[in-house]
Amino acid sequence: METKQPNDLVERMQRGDLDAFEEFFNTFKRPVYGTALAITRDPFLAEEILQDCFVKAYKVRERLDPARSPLPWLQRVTINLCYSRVSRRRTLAEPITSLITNLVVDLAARPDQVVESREVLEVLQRGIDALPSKQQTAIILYYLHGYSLAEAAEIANCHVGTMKSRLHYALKALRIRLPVERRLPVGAPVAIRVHR
Amino acid sequence: MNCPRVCRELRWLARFGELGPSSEPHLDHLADCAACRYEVGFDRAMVQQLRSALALRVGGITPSPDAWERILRRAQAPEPVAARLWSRSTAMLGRLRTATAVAGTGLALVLALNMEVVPVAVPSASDPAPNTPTALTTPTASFSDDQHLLVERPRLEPRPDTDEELGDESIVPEPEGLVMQLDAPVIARPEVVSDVPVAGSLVTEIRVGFRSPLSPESTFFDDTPAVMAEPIDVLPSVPEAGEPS
Repeated sequence: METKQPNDLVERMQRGDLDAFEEFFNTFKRPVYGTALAITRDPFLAEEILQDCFVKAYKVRERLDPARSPLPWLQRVTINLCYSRVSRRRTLAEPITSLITNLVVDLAARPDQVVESREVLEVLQRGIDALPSKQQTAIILYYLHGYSLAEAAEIANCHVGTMKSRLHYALKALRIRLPVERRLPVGAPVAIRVHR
Repeated sequence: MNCPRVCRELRWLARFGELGPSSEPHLDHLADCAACRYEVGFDRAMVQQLRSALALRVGGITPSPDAWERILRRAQAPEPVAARLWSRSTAMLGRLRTATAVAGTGLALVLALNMEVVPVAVPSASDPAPNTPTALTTPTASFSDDQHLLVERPRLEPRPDTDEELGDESIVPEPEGLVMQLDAPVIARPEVVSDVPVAGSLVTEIRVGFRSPLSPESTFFDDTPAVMAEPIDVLPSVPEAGEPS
């Protein structure tokens, strides 16, 4: 998924055009902020990272390649900033996410389904937080932003096969965290312990 | 077909959207196997839930309206001199990464070549005892600085009643504990060793053993007649003025 940019945006920015920089910001702020928020789960920290990222982009604008989209570079800078900040603070905004989760769940569904859905989402949120940073990045790039494997690999600076492997292990780790009764395949032998 | 293997491959293909004509055998198996259908279906459902969970993390939250103003202010602010110097030096070091690596390797090589390896010999049973004249006059690496003291003194003759009898077995190092041996002749004050029958000014040869505190008791001096069992004060090897050398 490539965010469209005007052809000469980077070139105009390189000439010191501040209107071009504003346009640049408005074009790319959403994916950058989304990545920062998905990793940090803290809107304030995510905004700090957004600012840092665009200030850095402005300062190194001479080194940006006008022929290529700056989005992979911006995403990479964002991911690096996120993990350096998160490892420094290690404070994840659990209450905000829980609140959103509770509000968003479809209340028209059956109560038991609502409970189950909330439970699964909660397990998945905790599972995503517990993933190693590289797997977390892979999940966010591929499943949240919808980048292709090649694009995600370019942002993460790895091979496509490595990206596949990270996604595979991330899903495997998440699957293990889900409730046991939802993991058993149909027809699998179930050990039953008889209490006497 | 091997059900777990097919199931694993199917899940892998489905995750990355790679199910196609080439995966027809897998799809045939899927049509027949309820367990694999469940697994693949579960995987798909989990991915949907994962997308929802990720969307919840970012849903509805946008950067504050004044974010652009702050970015612009920071971008246009002059960079502090220290920060500019730091960023320039790190950038230069980054460009000179190869040169830095080569210089570091060269420095390590120079240091390694200038190092002197000093072999430490452990005395074996066949070596001459340290209190024999040969051992006393032979310079060693560890006592080379004290050789001028040995030259100024008359050479001590081996005592037939002790050294010859004891021979190589005069020193039997204990297996445990640290034992240091001083091979230079030392001088003991007469008043300190007054309970030992000696004539005239005392010049004697004393072997001093330093033992580890963990060792139960000292047995080092027991068989040497010139040495008392009591602890004695040992003066420095350099004779003071007025004392016999």
